[in-house]
Amino acid sequence: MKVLITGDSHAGTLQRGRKLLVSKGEWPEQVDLMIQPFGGGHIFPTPFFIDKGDHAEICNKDFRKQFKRFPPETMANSDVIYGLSGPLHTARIRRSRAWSEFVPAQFAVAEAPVSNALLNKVILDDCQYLLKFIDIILRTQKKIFVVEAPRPFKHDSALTSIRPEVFSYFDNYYRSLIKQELKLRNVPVIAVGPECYDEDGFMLECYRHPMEDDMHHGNAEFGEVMMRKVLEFLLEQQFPNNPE
Amino acid sequence: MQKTPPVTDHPYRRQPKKAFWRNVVQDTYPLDITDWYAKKFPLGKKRIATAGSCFAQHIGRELREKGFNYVDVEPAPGFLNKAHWLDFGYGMYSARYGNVYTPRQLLQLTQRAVCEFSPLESTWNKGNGFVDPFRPTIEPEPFSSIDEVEIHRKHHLKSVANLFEVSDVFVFTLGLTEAWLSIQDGAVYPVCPGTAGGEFDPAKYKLVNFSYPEVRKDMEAFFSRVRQINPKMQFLLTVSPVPLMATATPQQVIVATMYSKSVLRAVAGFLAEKYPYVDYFPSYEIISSHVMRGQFYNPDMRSVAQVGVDHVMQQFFKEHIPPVKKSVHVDSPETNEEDLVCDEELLAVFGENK
Repeated sequence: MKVLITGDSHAGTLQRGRKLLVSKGEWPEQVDLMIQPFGGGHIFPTPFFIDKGDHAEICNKDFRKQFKRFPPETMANSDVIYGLSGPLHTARIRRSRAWSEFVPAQFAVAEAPVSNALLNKVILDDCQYLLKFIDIILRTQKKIFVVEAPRPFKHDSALTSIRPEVFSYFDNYYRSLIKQELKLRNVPVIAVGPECYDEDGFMLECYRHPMEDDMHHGNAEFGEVMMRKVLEFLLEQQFPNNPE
Repeated sequence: MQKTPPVTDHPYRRQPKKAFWRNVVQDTYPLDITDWYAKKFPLGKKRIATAGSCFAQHIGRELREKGFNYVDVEPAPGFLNKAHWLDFGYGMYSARYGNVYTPRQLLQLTQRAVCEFSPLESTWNKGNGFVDPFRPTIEPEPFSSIDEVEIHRKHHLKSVANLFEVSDVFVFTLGLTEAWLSIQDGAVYPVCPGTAGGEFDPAKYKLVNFSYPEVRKDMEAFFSRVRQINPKMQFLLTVSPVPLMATATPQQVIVATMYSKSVLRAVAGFLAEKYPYVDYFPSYEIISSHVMRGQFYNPDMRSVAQVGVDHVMQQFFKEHIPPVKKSVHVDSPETNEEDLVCDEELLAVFGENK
């Protein structure tokens, strides 16, 4: 089974997890999995590709260093399964300083309330190109799944100005909305399990990235947890709508 | 020998050139017509707020773009793409009140903001949700609950009250004389119930076509109430050149439009004449006067083309010279620090990011 996982920098955590599993001798032989991210997730809300019908031509100059087109030409006619990290990474919007002045209506005290319609618009705007990218992959009859990024960490510096309940609420709202979009497309999600975060929706400290100033990546242990889930999924082939 | 009769004196002899049709119009290309407006007071660095019917949106936008001290008490959140601001009522006026078509609506907005009027009907049903009857189209979708409508309204009205405190000049574009009001308590709605929420019920709502005395009284009550809050507030009035989309009177729509605009124009003129703190800018005349040959209207002969807006604002800025724009300091994008961390993570794991 050939698998290519791409996406944003959270793919790095998955790579760390993969290495841990290999070093423990727990990597299943039948899974030939490669991880090759596009680059930083801040590019994803921009038109980073051109829809060429049977593939996406990558037009962002940084992303093109990784892939000129997707699916890659060498894999176009093979049964590669694709994994994508990116659509469930909420930090781009979640960490906006504006959340100190704007909050979902039910949290409003002195802040300006924002409606669910506005949240939906913001989230779908942020994720629009990734969803279109997924649509192209699906159009080519390829299998694709999405790997969820870690939930927010409590040491995130944005929490000095943003109320934790607002931070967590938006994070959850974003994930729920995009998961609905993915469900509509029959795209499976490898989700962060509840064993990884507390009742307020924050990641457990044990999964924090070792770099002091890294506010949103998980560490190798978290990568291992997620990679085990990916493997479990792949070995059971839980695609709801198997194109074959 | 016959003597030349002595030249008699009369008031027209002392009138400036601009007072004579022949000088201003007859031999002049329409776009070269000058002297449309002479300001009564300068805008300078004063804090300027806007409200009114849809044409007022252009005025607010132009003032902001030209670097005037424009007040926006309900700015858009930084995470909302600018392309969607208008969909959510941001950047349209100085607060998210949407279009304020009639002086009565403006007066009641003020009274609601300072807690002097609480309309009995506070929400309208729309689809599976609810809207605020006093700005039913402020969001593209209805709110999910009555509570949510209330939370948004409370913040909005507080912002409007603040607007009157922090502004120096309030620009208001008078749009309509026709309005729908609640028979029960006289609350005026911006649109007919049933068109953007709620349900039309002739036992609950009635049409009113405000007369000159009513419009004048409402505007004077508005000035008076706002100047209680902010005694130095000045007002700049304009009349929207955009005709009625439809009339609910038995009149034909052009006739109804002419009535409406005539009343509003007359009141605006009267108020500007009477009060030293009220000015009138003739955007209505510049766009809709027959000497302009209707050239500023789009083919529907209703909406105003951008070239018309530009021409109007050129006349405005001849008198109110825009401030010299300072170089704008652009904050680094919020995500920069995060982008760096992401790149570091990629480099750490995958080596050189080829």
